[in-house]
Amino acid sequence: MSSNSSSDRESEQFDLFLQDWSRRDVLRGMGGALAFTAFLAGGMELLAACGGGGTTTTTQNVVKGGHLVEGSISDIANLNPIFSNDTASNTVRDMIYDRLLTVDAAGNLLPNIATEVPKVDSDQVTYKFKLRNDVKWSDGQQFTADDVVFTFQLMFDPKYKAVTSRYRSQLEQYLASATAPDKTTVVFKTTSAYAPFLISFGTLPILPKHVWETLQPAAMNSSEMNQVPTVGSGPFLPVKWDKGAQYQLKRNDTYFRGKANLDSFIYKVVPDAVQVANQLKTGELDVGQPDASVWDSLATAQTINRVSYVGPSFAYYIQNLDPAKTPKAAIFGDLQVRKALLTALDLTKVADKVYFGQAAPADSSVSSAQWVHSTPKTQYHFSLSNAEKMLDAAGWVKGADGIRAKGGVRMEWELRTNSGNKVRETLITVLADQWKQIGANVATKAVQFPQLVTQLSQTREFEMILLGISEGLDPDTTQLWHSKSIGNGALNGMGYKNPRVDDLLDQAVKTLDREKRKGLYQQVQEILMEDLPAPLLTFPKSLWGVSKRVKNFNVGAWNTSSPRPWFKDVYVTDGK
Amino acid sequence: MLAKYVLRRALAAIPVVVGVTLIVFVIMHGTAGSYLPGLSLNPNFTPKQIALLQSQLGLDQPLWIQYLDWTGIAWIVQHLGMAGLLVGAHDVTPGLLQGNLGQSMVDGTSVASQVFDRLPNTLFLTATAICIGIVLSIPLGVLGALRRGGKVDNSLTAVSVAGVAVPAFWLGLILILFFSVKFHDWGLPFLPSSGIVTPFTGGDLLDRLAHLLMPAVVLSFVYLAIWSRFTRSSMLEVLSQDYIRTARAKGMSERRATYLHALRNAVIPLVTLIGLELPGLVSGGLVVETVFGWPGIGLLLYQRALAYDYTMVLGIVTFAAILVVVGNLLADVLYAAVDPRIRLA
Repeated sequence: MSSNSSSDRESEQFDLFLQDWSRRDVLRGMGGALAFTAFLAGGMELLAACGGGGTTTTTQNVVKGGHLVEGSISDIANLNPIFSNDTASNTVRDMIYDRLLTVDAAGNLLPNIATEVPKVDSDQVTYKFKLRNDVKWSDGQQFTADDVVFTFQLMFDPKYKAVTSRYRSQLEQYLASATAPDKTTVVFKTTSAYAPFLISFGTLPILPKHVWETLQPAAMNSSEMNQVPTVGSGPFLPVKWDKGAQYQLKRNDTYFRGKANLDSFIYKVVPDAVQVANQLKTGELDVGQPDASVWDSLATAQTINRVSYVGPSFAYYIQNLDPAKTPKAAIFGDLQVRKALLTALDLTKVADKVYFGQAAPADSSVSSAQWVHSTPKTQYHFSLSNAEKMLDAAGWVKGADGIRAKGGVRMEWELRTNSGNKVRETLITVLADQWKQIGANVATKAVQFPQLVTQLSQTREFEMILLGISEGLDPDTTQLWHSKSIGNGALNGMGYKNPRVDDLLDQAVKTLDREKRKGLYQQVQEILMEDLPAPLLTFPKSLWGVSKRVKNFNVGAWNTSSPRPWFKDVYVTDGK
Repeated sequence: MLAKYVLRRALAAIPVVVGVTLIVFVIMHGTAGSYLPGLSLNPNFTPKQIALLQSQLGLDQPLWIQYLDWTGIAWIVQHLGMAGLLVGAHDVTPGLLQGNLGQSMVDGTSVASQVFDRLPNTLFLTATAICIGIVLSIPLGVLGALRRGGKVDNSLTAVSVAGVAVPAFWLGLILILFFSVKFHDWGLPFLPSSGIVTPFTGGDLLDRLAHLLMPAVVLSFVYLAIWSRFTRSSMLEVLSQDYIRTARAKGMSERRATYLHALRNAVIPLVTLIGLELPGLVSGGLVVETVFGWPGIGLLLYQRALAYDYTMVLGIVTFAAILVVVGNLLADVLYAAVDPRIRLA
């Protein structure tokens, strides 16, 4: 599953199917302060969207009509924006519900139902959205500021506490009020200066109040409208959902940005990403995300264009630095060891062999799809001999069996990842193999995803874990690196504490000026590359196969899973 | 006598169903703990929010309370006015005993609606496969018996061994590669590789049959292998019986002796064997459904198990367990009806 947002990926799991989960989200979808989500199981990294694929939009010789079939390895789960959480759901959801702000391939905010991207008031907490007055729900009702306020109340107002929204605790903490002074104005006040708010929540799709207010709060959790909405505001509307098979949508003729070119859109469930490639070849699918292992073979298919770009995600290994949790912290607590371990990894080769070339070696602590990404001055170039020298200098001496030791601590540990994810299971083997060459004895183990999560975020009883992270549109990384994110469900399982990083992250969340904020995150990237608490390995690419009959399918890093502002311009050349 | 027997068997089935639900429940929750399906690693969730969601789903309760809740025993206890027996204050909703399989923890959909919406798809596939298995295995088994030791028999034996040895997922992928991808490459008419109908344009009988063909063949392959071997040996045994020899001695034609007298008797034990496969109507297609993206119960179970959707998995497994128990009960009763010796055993 791919998606720009951090929240989408979580399910995948399915990823379920994919342990995935599966595999397999957008911050905006999640509304979160934090832009990250670890991938659920499943080989989802390969499919992560990111970067900017982009071809240009053609407006001449556009053919109207026809239908497009997109393949997905997961079925939809829940299309209600206050619940939805996975790529498949977000993709279909965004055909049906539109939002105040949208984004381009680079992750820049653009006006949508809001006439412009609001600037925060001088008080640093007030955002005033002016809405277009020509937006209609598909049942003819006017889209108003009341719909927006209602959608936020569901996630925020105490009287809707029974609604199991994923955003409630975040909004309770950061949102002070949402009000509608008139039909086309919405005013949000945050509790304090909070930079992620606009990105995370300005892009959240809006529900029709007049449809949902008739339900009891608890009934909203299991309403059938969560899967098949009756009223929408987007370019397409639901026709039917064949569970486990396909979701069929038809054009919304009253869409405020103009009718879509296609008559119909079908989101078809396909067993796996290899089958996606097969069905692209046979024409059963028009677009889809093939497995990296068959990417090269798709090049020979005359009817398919291939599009790839680095997505907002990364794979990384987490070292436990906390002596209270593992005696191996004596190894990882030594900065020279951490540097030597990364130096001993040939990341280019890893990208080539494990990802079939469809990944870029990581050079920082955020993916290159992020607008805050920079390449830190400190880099670790692959060299086994340099790595050995570093370990020698640090006093880690090779024993008779070739394993290094220092002060009675042997350089051996266990590297875990979640089972069912082939890419990660291969990665841990490759890592263990490369480290063996410099005198480290690394055992590998695949464990169930829930257990791995508990080990990383709760008990913190592990030595080393390999995982993937899917980044959100907002670049806040507090959950990964801040010392307050150690344990209690947060992701700093390393036990990494650097007061300077804490301070920079805290400042960045409060800094509303985009350039200033970027500067703060660049400092964080420099420090993390120096400290290496959990080094990044690769930035996997998003891969798309697009039938040559499909035009204007302009996938990109941030505008592919959610939202897809370009989708109404997609057309098929044969009009079928 | 028969009624008493049925009652005894029915009562014996109750602990089986209870045992199955208990085991599945403990395994599911034991492996995943209170993991919140699909949500836990999301950094957007504070520990407070995770705890809130877990409590809304009842995952924060002790395991035995969760089991009582899920089965509906807690609901009965509460309605008997003995809620004090249940630890902790929590909302008690109708459970299994009240006919409520609950809601999915992943998407909030009703477990029952998911299961029953997919049941026809699964039945369509497995019933077709069983029919193919029966229609092909009996003639092949007879042929093998009549030509014992010959080339035909030997090759049938080889195919049977392959049928049991070759994993269904492998066979499925090979068929897809050949009949979908390669046929398409060669410009021939090709079979669709997944799904139940062609999206949008499909849905007529021919389209459905095209989608059905490969999964049904793969699923029937195992049946075919086992049943044809069984028919063969059963046929061989019957052919050597005295009454067949007598028939031949009377001057009955070989054809008549074989097909009328021998075959009829040879397939009786096969009926039992096929009867044992009936629960497989629901559960048998998991691997095949997964390989071919067939939207049935097996695919649903596989997907939801990977997503740690406790309620959905429990619902499906319980449903399947009840079917198996009822199926076996039915078979036992029919057996007892035809063979009085069984009733007393």
